[in-house]
Amino acid sequence: MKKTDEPDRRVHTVTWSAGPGCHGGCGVFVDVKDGKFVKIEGDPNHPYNSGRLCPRALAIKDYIYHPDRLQNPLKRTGKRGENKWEKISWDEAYDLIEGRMKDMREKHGAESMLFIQGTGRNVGGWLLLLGYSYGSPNWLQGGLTGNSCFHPRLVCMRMTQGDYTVPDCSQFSQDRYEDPEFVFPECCMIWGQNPAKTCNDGFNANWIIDMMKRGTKAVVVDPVYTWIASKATIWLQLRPGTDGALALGLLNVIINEGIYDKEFVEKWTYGFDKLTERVQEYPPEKVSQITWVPKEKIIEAARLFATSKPASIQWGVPVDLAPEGALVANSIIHLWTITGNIDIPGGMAIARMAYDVPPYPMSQEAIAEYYGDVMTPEQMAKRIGIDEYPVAKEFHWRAQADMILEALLTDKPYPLKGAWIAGNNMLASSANPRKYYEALNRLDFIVVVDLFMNPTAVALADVVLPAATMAERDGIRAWWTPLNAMESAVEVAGCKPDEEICFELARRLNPNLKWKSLEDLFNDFLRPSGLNYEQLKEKGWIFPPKGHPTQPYRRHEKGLLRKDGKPGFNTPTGKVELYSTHFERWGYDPLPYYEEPHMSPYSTPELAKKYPLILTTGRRSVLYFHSEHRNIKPLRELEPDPVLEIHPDTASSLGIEDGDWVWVENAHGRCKRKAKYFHGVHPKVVQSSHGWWLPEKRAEDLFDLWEVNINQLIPDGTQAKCGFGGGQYKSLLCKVYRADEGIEGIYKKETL
Amino acid sequence: MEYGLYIDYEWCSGCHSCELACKQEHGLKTDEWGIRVVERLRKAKDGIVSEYIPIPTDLCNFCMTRVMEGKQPACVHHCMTKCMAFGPIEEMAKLAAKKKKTVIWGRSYPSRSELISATSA
Repeated sequence: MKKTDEPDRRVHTVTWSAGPGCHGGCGVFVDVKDGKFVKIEGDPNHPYNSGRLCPRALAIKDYIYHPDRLQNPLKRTGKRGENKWEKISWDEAYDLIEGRMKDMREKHGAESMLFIQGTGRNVGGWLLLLGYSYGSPNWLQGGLTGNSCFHPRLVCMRMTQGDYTVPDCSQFSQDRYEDPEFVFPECCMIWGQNPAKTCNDGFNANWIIDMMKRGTKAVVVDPVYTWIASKATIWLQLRPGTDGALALGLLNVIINEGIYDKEFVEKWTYGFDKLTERVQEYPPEKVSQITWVPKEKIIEAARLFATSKPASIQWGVPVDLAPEGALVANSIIHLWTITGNIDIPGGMAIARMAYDVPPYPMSQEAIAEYYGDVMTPEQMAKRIGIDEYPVAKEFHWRAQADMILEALLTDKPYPLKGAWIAGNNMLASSANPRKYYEALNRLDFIVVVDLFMNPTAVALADVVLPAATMAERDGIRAWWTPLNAMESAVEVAGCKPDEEICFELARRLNPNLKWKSLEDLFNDFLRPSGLNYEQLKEKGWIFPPKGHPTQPYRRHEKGLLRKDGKPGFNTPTGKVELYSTHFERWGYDPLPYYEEPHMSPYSTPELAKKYPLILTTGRRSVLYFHSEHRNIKPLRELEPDPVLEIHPDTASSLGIEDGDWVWVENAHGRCKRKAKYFHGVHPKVVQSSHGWWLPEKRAEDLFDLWEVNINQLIPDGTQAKCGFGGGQYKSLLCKVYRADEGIEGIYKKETL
Repeated sequence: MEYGLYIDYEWCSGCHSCELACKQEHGLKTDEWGIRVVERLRKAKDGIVSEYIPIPTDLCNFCMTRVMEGKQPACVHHCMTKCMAFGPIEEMAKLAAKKKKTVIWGRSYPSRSELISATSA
């Protein structure tokens, strides 16, 4: 690739990757002086962020030049966990890995190696390239029960409406809110998402706030009275994990009051009568008892949403994490469907990758098109989880995480021998992390690719490879839109982007790889856009023209969604399936129903006597992305401690003062937290952030992981029946009591 | 010339971007901040909730260099909810007069042309 060698320059790129760490693609300028990073600045003309940036992006200099950054490949010399390493060169690392992987492939088959990513940054697509080039179909988001991060929602959207949808906030247009075709939604329902703290899945949550400032009314569904909830017209404070009941209750009101879009339902949906019958089981009174949301509020919210046009729903990961998450996702899809909000301006825009360019492919079709000849069908059929879960087989493209855990421990359906773990601090982030520790430790060979040493690398890695931040990467991004070029601005000695690492090993492991270089691959991927990588870099980003199948609106009417070119949706019936013909075919209930959390005052009343509080974990912080950033001083300074947010009344009844160290405990485990008085939670609910480990502590002690990892309270094996959804991160039971002492040596704030 | 940093704190979400943007712009150390987001509790319709107001510190110079280049101060430029604005104090006062929950931090500085000549001297 052509590199600009000018020591002083301003580079345009997008933020997708390590640094801010999120899934977003904010347009930025990176200023470079003497070859060194000087400053990042949001690009005011970029449609994704219009100039603004989050604190994690703005602290990126501290991240790039952090003294603890890994800058050499490391080979383990002591036992796993001893933190003894030998620095080796990249050539030595590649040779070692190539040798071990080829040996493993010969002895046990390529499928015995796992390719594990964390959440969906730009690691995923390159991991897929590496895994498939090697010949293993076992690419996955490791540790995530029920594949419960966006994937239940993704597969449900595909099954039910044939395509993905996102709230239309004008993001498909360069002119944004000024685009004459765009209409502001009258109402946006914000379901289990906190736009003030976090953006999710190719979506800049600040767009919701933009629209609210311009008059869009909000209905916020959240157990917590958040800042955004205080700006909403209606706040529905549900009991954690009861999202499914609430969605069915809203459908009940909308259908029974006849305030749905009759024309759309008649013309474009399948199974409305059967859904009508099913929702009769969920009258507002009953739903109120289940969810703790007053009946009147359920009715009021249903009316506001249904009588607003256009209207949209911005949803978050609690939808997936609810018991039977796939059914909750379907119920919410039904809400925007029967109100006729699909692919209309200001409604739920059908979202495809701009020009269908797939740097992070999200369908079997996209993978087949771009990687189809990399792996044989026989190898593809070895993907773990597809025998148990037809949804995984037909609608998903990764291994099923819970079945991988089983396989690791039981050697069934076949023994697993190795893992490549990139950007996933699994011991800090998986459910039942001690079980994962035991399971992964059975593997013969583990490569960890990351930017800093972390508990997972120390505990499990045999080789550690130092990765690069977004400012050090060339690449392309199209999730969902626009299509962007990423250009590296600086180099940090010894570090390499996943793109390069994965491509080099893919080339070594598959001599027939069809791409000769990374740029060759970028150009091939970019074909549908009519530009090559150099040309895209010149432009920065592009939108497909209006009327393109990857641009809204009303594509179902125009025959732009189906392969056969007929009007309608890309489903078996050509309609949005309120009654799922796929679920019916597989023998699942084709209609949504409510399932109580595995642990709750109602499903396990005896347990609730011992553990009387409901614990919801995963509270987001704008300063941290999952388990990252605790070592970035200016961010840590603003949120130094792992906290448990507890209602003051509850806390004082337990003799807990604001700021006391406490143990949070249940039958599965316990961890330490600093109690923080917080009025926004129900007195019977406590809330905590996740992903904690203490980079300031000793690596040999796994950075005090087991003292602060709240996932120890989360059991595994609670996935939904169809394998998508569930995982008990949001609706646990626990007790809270004062700890005798805090955590010695924990980071102390320097200033007020 | 008199400038104002206008904040519509109805929409300040407490995201800390102004603090970090300022730190980066001015190369401030860990314990130095040019602006701080202050959090307080208020009674809202459905309960008690946090409200945030950014307050410039003594280290704030209203990003004179940026302003001279025709740019917004770093905090205003990066504000996630776009609840900040910067300009001549009369214009900011007009904005504030139209909107509840607003505040203006004002300061007197040489005009842009005076600034340019001062810096080049």
